[in-house]
Amino acid sequence: MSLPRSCYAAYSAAIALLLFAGWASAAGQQKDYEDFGAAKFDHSTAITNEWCPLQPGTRFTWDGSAIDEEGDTERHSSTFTVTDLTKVIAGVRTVVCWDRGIVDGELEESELIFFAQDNNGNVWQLGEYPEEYDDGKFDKAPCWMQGVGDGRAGIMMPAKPKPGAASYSEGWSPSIKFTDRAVVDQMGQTTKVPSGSYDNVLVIDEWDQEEPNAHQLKYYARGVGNVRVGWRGEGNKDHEELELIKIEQLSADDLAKAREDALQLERSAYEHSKDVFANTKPSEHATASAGAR
Amino acid sequence: MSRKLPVAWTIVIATILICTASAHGAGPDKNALPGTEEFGLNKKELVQATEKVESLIAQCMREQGFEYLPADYATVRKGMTADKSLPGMTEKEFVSQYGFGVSTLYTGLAPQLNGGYSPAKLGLGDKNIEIYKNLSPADQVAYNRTLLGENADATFAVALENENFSRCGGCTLKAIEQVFKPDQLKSTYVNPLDALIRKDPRMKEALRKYGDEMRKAGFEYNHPDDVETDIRNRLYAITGGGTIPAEKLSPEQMTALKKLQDDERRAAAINLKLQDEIFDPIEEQIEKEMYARQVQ
Repeated sequence: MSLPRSCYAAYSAAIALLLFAGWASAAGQQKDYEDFGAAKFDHSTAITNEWCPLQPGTRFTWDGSAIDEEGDTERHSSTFTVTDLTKVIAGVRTVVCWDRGIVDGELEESELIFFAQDNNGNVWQLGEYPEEYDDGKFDKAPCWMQGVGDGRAGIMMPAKPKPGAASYSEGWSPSIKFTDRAVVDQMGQTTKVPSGSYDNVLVIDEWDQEEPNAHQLKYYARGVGNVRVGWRGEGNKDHEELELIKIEQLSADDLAKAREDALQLERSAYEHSKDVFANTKPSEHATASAGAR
Repeated sequence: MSRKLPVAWTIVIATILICTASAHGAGPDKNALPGTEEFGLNKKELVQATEKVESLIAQCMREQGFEYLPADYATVRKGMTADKSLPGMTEKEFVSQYGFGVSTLYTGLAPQLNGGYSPAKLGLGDKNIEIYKNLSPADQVAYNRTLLGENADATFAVALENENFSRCGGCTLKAIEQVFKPDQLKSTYVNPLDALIRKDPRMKEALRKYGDEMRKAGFEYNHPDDVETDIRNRLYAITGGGTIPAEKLSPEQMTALKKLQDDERRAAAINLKLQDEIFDPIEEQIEKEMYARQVQ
């Protein structure tokens, strides 16, 4: 089979990394990515993890601010919609989520994220297609997908998060500088945001290899999900802070609109990511694919 | 018109201004161009002015027997940037659904009691909202009259964003009067950078074109800034200066409000389109030339 030049490069890098990861594992060191193959996914689209439940038709809206490159405060807001689409990636049917990032009233990023839950209750992230815009025009789309090139799935939320447990990879694709890791930072916290006051909040500390000493803190409320985003560390320059403003269940019409918008983004993904996203099967409407794995 | 510059231009202009300042020494340069923030201030001046106003508001409130904690710049800025947008919506989406968010999001409630997303509420800060909510209904009325005067929606953040202090009252106005210049307090005030841009023949031609397009759509507006001002004035005429809660409007007032909301959505959408198509490219070009001349 003939592969494009860029794919050769990606595959060479992937093989080298696999060898390195195997060596690191054998030596008892931290693995760069999770052992996805060992996980079982019998009911992958039923994402019922108590810290990160993803019910189709749910939309989260966060609002807050960050510091831009000139030191000015800019407004950040974001919506995350759990669509009723599913997509099979590396043999696992995932739930398609659609995330939009808005900065000072302009759409900066529109992203498809693919989640699945394994039999133990861990929520996995199997790929991302983030489309980034500059002045309203397409800029770039650094996509990764499990099993394509150097893309490796990661854990978005462990089944039983515990302080003191080892850190874990949230996904891995060094060719696009995606090396996010996370660890349980605290449990039993209390936080108040516009959507409500939450007790027994779990705080997850996230970082990557690209920005030393830059940490993002994500606060999760049981039965709700991510309610607050904060930051820590001198390396964190943008100081992004977000609060959950609203959590809503979309009407049938709004869900259909979200589905159409997500499918439109997917069509764009097939156009813009020919090396990675184009290697995946199209998303399907959940009712049409019910029962299939 | 928006004075928010694209990031690249902000960097260029900031660099030029730093170089210019160095060449002229540390003192103010009488030929210097106005700053790009509200009221022609630069970022540092705006932060200082904001903190000074907030501190004076707190002092005035204390003298009147009320507690008010000075909101920091980030809080006031949050209220300002919350204008004309809702979390999760782009500006274009917001305008198509809510216009400027003036009559379409009208509640007639005190800003602290607004249930939804409100720039005025955000600009006051969480602690002051808590203070207000812990007061009895009678004290809440007295508190807001002392803080804001007659127009409870005219908080400092909202007025600063609109560059119009004319509706402010109470301790807020008293504090503003001690920090801003008398001409900046007038409803006819025009930002100095906008005033310079308006003198340019290309902008005059653009404004003629704008007026023609608006008339074609059935509106008598000759400047983009006139639209929101007119919508606000019409809203105050319907709602007794914004003092009647939405649910207590008479059927006639409600009908007039719905008509105003339709006008607002339509006029705001055309306004935004013309802003993008006609004004933004010209403003960018004029500012580029203006600041380049400044360096020479």
